[in-house]
This record gives sequence, C-alpha cells and structure tokens, in this order.
Amino acid sequence: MSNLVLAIPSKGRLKEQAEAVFTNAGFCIESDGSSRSYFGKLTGLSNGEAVDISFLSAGEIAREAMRGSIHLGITGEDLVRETLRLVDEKIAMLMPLGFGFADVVVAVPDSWVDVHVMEDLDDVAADFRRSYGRRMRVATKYWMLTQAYFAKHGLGVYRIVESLGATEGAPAAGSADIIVDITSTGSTLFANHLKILDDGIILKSEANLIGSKTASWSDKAKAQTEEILTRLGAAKPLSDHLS
Amino acid sequence: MPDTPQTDLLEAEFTKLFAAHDCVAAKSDILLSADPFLETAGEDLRRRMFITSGPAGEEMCLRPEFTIPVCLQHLRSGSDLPRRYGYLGPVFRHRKNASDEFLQAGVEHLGRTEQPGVEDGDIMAIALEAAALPNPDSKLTLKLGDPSLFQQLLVSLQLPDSLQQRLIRAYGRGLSEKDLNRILLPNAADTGKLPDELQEFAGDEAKLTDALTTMMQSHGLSRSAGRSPQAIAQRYMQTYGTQDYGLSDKNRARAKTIILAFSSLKGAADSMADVFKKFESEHNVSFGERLIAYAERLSHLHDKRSKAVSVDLQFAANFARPLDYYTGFVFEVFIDDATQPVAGGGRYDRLMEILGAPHPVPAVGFSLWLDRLPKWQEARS
Repeated sequence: MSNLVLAIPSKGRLKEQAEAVFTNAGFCIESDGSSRSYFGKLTGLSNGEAVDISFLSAGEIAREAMRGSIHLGITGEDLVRETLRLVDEKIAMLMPLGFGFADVVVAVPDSWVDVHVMEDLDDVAADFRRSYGRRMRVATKYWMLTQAYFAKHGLGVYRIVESLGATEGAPAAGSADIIVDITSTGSTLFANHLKILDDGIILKSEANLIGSKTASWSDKAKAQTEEILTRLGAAKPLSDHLS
Repeated sequence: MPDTPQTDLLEAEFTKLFAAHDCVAAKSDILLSADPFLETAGEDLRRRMFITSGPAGEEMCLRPEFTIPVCLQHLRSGSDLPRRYGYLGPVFRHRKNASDEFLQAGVEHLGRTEQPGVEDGDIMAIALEAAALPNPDSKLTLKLGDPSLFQQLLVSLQLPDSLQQRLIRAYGRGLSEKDLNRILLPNAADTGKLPDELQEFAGDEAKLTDALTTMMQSHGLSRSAGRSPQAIAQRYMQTYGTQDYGLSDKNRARAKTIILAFSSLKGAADSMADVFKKFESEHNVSFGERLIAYAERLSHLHDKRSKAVSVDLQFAANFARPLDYYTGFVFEVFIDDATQPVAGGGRYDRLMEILGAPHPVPAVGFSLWLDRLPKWQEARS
C-alpha cells in the first residue's frame, strides 16, 4: 500500500470541522457515490493526483493509525492516548487543529469537601477498604488514561467501573464514587454536583492531525503529506516527525 | 512456551523441597476470576494481567501470581491453621523483553506457629534453599527490608495519624526528598476551603456533618453507597480544619531530617542492631519492640538456613513494597551479580482478611521466578 490514505471522522460536528480544515486550505473532498459512503478522495494537490480518504469513527482512526493501515487521520488526542500505551512510538501528533476542545478530568462529588487534590484522593482511597469493605470505584471509559494518571500520583488501590455513557451520573446512581470523564465547559459536571480536583486535569485535548509511524510511507505519500502540512500551516514538516 | 524447561526435574526437586519443609501442595486453576486480584492489588495490576470475560460477562484472568489463589483456596477448603502451602506452576503477565508465560514456585505460611520471627526466618531459609536448588555453588544475596521500623519511627516522632499514613504509603513507593517536602511541609491554606454555603460550619464537626447530610440528600447521593457525611466531616477537620496539623516548623524540619537519615540506613543485616541503637540515641527516637522482632527474625534465619549455601545478608531501610496488605518485613534473593531478584517475599498479615477471612490471619511467604534461575534457564531447549 503506497497510496496516501487520510482518515476523517465519519459523522457529526467533528466530520464537518475536519472537512473544513481541508476545504479552507483549497482542497476538495469528494465522497464516492452516496453521502453514506465510507470512502472518498481528497483533490486539489499540486501534482494533480488524488489522496484516498477513509471515513471512520474517531476511535477507529486512532486504532488504524497505530496499526499503520492509514497514514494520516483527524481525531481527538484523548482518543489517541486512550487507545495506545506507547503513543509516541507509533503516532506523530502533526498539528493541533483548534477545535474539539475537551479536558479529561478527575471529578468527585461536591459533598467531598475534604478532597481537593490527588493527594486527598489517595488518602480517601487508602481508607476505603477499612471503612466500607471495598475499594473506591472510578467510573470512566478512559481506562488507560486513568490508570496512567493515578499511577503517576501513586494511587493504585481503586477499581475502575467501565462506563459507556452518562458517566457523570454514576456517583448519584451509586455505581461509582468518582469519575474520570471528558468535559468541555464543565456544565454537565456542575449539574451533576461534581467538582474537578485542583490537579485533576489529566489531559487537555483537542482534535489533531495525526500521522502513523507504522504505515509504509512511499516517497510520493511523504511528498503529498508535506504539501498538505504546508498548506494547513503546520509548524513542522513530516520529516521532523518520522525520523 | 515458558522460558523454563525440564519441568519433570523441577517438579521432582520442588516436591522434595516442599516435603522437607512440611508444605502441603497447593491447588489452583489457571483460569481464575479477576476480581480478587484487582480488589487486592488494585487497578495497577490490570495492565500486567491477561484478562478475558466469562460466559456471564464476568472478568476472568490467567493466573498472574499464586499468593491470592492459594489463600482463597485455603479459605474455601476451611482447613485448619497453621498450614504451609507449596506451589509450582505457570503464571501469566505482560512483560517487556521476557516471555509472558513463566514458571513460579513458592511457599505461603498461613496462621501462627510460634513467634512471627520463627516463621519469617523459616520462610527466608526455604527461599534461599530453593534459589540454590539448580546450582548449590551460587553466591546468593538476601536483601532485607522492614517497614515496621519506619512505622514505629513515625509513631516515635509523634506525627499526626493522617501524615503517618501518607508517609507510609509514599515509603512503600520509594520515598524521595520531594515526597517528604510535599507531605511534611504542605501549604494547607491554599486549598481545602469549604464551599461558601458551608463556611459557617467550618469549626464544628457535628454541624458540618449535618450540613453535608442535607447537601448529599439534595444532590441525590445515596448515603449508604459511598462515603458518609461523618467520614467526610471528620477527615475535613483532621486535614484542613486545624492549622498545619498543629505541627511546629521546627518539628517538621526535625521529622524530615530524621526520616531522611533513616531512609539511608543500610549495611550487613547482622551489624544493623548496633546501627539502630546508635540511631535511636542520636535522634532521640525509639523503634521499640520492633528491634527485638528484627533480631529474632535474623537469628532464626541463621538457625534454619542451610550452611552449604553461601549467602550475603544485607539490610536496606528504604526497601518496601507499595501494596497495602504487606505489613511487616520484606525480602528479595539475588544470584551472583544479577540485578533482578530470583525470589521475593515478606509478611502480609492483612491479605487473608481482605480476601474474606472472618478474622486476621498472619501470613508470610515468597515466590521464586524460575525463569531467572541461571542454570535452568540456560538448559532450555
């Protein structure tokens, strides 16, 4: 596979914003056949050749870039870091795109007035078994980010409860004690009587153009990518990332 | 395939060793419920476990270690105590630069026989004998740590309980000077303010509890499911309510100096008794009866260990484990100049209760990484 493959989110606001990045830079995006097609072409490159587009879910884009089946993709940094353990070995963050802002945060109930920082949480977690006969439960869909961040703060004794939606409701529902979730304005957390710890921001995420370090890069694919990066206004060329 | 061959030979050797030390053969499945491992060791272990799901969606795992299944099996069997188990078999963990399936052997001593020091000494002697099985001429090093000395030091320094707990946890993870500064010299005034609507209750634990109860009810938080208003109010008063824990700057600085000095203590295990005594008088602190336990453990180790094996006994004050069920001494065995231990063990008096025992059960044991034993490793086909 030597043709350059670019993956774009397949639906929603993220798709519109991702496509706008390219159309604003003078490229043209054409879907194959119907609007529900999973394939398309990016045209408007100076050599006159088209780049293959795959429309995938944002989560799949991170996975496929890791596997090397796509060269370029647009997805949230949170999804990249959640999908991959050794991100920097397999994926290059080519440029932040200025939309899709969201923070992955640690939030606890407002009523935990004695908990403000991770150190407090460490105290509380350590005491949970003795007081309540079980470990502290954390609802999240960000397993890897949670594990890495908690481990960084020396926190190991807790349980993750997988949450596939409405994570912010878990403490009130009694299925978890605290949450790790994504928030853009904090209003959902506020409405659910949760507060973010002072040092509870795990990741400040936004949509990124990512490049796969595991894909096979032909000279043509590299040249096309350099042109795309230049026209999109990236700070550094592809060659700086792939070495 | 595991990195260890000659399984028949191993089995024969360990069967003999276990019999000589009154160990019952432990039985454990390879496919086990993941829950007890995650519940005891915490989520940190998940990254290294092979996890899969059972037919009802429950989490199952390939046995990541033996201690927990051996303890659980004992609880299910309802057998008498004390009892000593021996095990040998494959365990499965994600590892870098090593096979994910490898053989472990080990011994778990559950219940009280005589003095803890006797059991501790016994277990270390068996671990040394096991480590020397493939090659009796190996030069072994036994590294010994004793977190109970550190705990006693904190008591002796009269630090508030919450600070002691933080220090003990940080100590298990490898206490640095940075940790000490963070814990001992906190800037509590910056954070920890109560929300405006609760300000008026800041000085009164009972009133704060009531206010929190009302707050949790209005937020729809189930009071039975999570932390209670009492617990929150109590911890608030302890942590943020009193100014600086009532510790003077002089006492903080003294605690820091003494803890740092203690962490750097190391040397030949047999010579440490004098070092500890000197430390006590120099810093005006006391390790209390922990020193007797330390001496008993060593003297029983000398009684029991095979004199045919050459062993260098070393103590390091900063050697501890991060798991909260380890309660007493810890040790590791090294062969020749290897940097990775071939055996590791210690006392974990809290584990059985965590796993569901109705009352505390003293326990001590070790595991041996058979793929790190040079001769058996080299002989692999």
